[in-house]
Amino acid sequence: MRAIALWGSIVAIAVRNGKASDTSYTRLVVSRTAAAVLGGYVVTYWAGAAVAKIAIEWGSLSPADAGMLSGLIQLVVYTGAIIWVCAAASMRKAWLAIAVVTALLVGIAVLLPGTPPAP
Amino acid sequence: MYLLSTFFCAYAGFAALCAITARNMPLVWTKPPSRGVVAALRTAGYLLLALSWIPCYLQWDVPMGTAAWVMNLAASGFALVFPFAYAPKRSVQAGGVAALLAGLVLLVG
Amino acid sequence: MEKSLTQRMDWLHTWFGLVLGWLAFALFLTGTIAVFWFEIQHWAQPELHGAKMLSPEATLQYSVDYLQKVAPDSRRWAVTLPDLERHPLLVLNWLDQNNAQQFARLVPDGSGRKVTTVTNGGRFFVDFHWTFNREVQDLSGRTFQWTYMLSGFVGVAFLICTITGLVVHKKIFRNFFTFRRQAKSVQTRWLDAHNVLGVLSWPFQFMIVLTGLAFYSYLYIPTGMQMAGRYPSPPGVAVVGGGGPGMLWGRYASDAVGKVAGNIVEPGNPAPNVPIADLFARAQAEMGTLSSFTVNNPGRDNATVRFGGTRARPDAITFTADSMTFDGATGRVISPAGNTVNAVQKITNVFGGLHFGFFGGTAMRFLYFLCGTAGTIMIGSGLVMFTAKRRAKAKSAAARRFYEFVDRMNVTAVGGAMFACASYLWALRLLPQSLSDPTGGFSGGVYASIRAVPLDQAMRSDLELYIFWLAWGVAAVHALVRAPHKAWAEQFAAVAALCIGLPVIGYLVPNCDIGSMIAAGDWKMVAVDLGGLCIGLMLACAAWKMSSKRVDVRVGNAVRAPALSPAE
Repeated sequence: MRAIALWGSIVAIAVRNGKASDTSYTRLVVSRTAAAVLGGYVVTYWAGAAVAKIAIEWGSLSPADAGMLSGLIQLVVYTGAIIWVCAAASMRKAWLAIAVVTALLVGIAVLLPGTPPAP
Repeated sequence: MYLLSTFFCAYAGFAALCAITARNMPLVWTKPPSRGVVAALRTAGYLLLALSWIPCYLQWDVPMGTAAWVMNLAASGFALVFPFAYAPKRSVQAGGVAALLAGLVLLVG
Repeated sequence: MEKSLTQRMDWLHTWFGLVLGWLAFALFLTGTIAVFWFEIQHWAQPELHGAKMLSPEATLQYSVDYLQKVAPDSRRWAVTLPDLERHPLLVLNWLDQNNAQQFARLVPDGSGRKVTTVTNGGRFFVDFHWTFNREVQDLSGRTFQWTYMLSGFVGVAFLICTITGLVVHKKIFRNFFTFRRQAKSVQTRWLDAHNVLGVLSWPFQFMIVLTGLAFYSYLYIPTGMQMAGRYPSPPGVAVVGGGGPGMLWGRYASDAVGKVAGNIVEPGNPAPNVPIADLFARAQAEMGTLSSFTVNNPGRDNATVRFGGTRARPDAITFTADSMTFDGATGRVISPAGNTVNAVQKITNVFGGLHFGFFGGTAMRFLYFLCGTAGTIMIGSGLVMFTAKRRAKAKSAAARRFYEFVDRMNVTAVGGAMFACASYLWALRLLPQSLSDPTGGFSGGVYASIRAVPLDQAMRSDLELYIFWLAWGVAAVHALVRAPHKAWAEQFAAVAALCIGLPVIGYLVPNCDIGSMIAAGDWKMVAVDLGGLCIGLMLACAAWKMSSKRVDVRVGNAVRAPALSPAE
């Protein structure tokens, strides 16, 4: 539930940032920092689950291996996300990309066939 | 002891490359060096940097030696660049001495 | 929005570098000191100083004889063998007749002298830089630990700065050897220093931060592990999170009393056992230097003897998990030597090995220390450069107040961290041994973690941490009230005084004075004292240079006079 609310707010920010009159430097800094740190966190959060799931379902890695691999990939994802967001020429593009990528990862993590058996 | 040889060898290599950097030319040379000298120093510089890997390999093995070589490049680099700011000519000339010392230490050790 | 990619990357490098650089300096400082943490651990335990160590075989025989005398009918003996090169301490654990755990921490010279000092020692520096002294309880990824995430975030920021630093350094090869120490602009001088330190050691910096983040990367945002935890794991596979506490130690819990693990088998009938010394020789031939051994049901017919190799061998980079088990009665090999790690863990073992630098001996450790120092100074120079560059150009009163604040934060981060570390070393030396934890373990857990206890109940390990944090607090207050340019010089001078004083205070504690240690040939202990002395002398030079001129004021025509703080 919290994750969906967070995702929804990211989309809202993306839409809002599209206004042409967004000239305040402070707003840019806040937006960029939030997108990089918080948006990047959300992407990384779901990347972990998605990678682990893919590794186990499709890559047939053992769960321990998959967990550790997901950690390594999360490292690359978070670093890359922050750099990419700050390199982006427009914040609107950055927020939209975060929203889209997060949705994709959530989809993989939640909906990929082969849900783990009940404990 | 091999590490000392690596250090001197890399120092010599960096000194050679430092001497032919465009920015440092007026600090090091009293009259501009000929193109042949510049080319020779460039080759010598890179060669000495590469050769400095050998004592590291002799001291350890390939993976550990390579790690040590990379770190030693930093060490030799610092040993050159910071004194260079105080005495450019002498620190570069010391490169020649260092090259000789590198060979000596390797032979003795 | 900045016009070019380089400008945007510069923004990222500057702001992430500044805000997280304050913490990153402390991390790098403690990490660099931690290269020699075993030696500092040895330095902190006076009972071990100058002792004449037995050979590994003699140590083994001595341990077996001791346990045979003390607990011949025990269900389990577990011994941590001393690391004779770096930190010799012999820890014997056993189960007594009520299956309660007993232990003895001994000087491995065969005299039977006990080591009663229980200290955070050098281990503090390792633990601080990834836990900030908060307990890290759960290493299987079920919970989020905020201090661990913070240290991870600082690491990610540093990684980003290494990458963006390369991107924004436009003339990186043309200016490879440039250090314009006499440039008119203070900013240029600091920038050149920052660049030289960073570029020459770039491969090391990139490697150290990447490896540091990588080997426990699954714990920062442990969603991957949580997802994996929902699947049943196949039998015989390494335990999730099995990197665990053992990963951090070059050898198994070299100081902490080991927990004698479960799975205790009922003892069989008494039967003569193969001499453990023989099994030791065989295991050593297979695995190299051994770090521990465990005997189940010694003196019975179902005795087993398990030898553990060092987690980190000095002759290989990669961490290993080697062990070998023998049948105690017949000497038959039950489980042979050979790594049993799975594929991904092999990668993290390489990363761990590279990061900790247990390999290669003293020469390698000096290289690590040198490059780590370069990184630490690089961060410091970056922080100072920020204020040097912007303070003179500050246009509004609000901007000037901000840069004043940044300057004071810089002093707290740089000077404070150093002052805290130096004070901690003084605490290690001067706190009474008698305050040590009588149970021989660490009440706060495996890692150096701070806990709130009333002062009369605080043990030595608690007080050491209190002094560290208190010293940092004092430095922070000092930075708050003094003018920055005075605060810099004063804090550096204070740290220099503490470091130079390290060999001196050794004379106040029995068996710690440098004179008799040189005579006894205990170079591990002497090295820490002398190292501190050298660093102190260098810091004293730095403090002297700082006191004769202002660090952050641009020479030449200032746009407006720098704001004077009330303390000036």
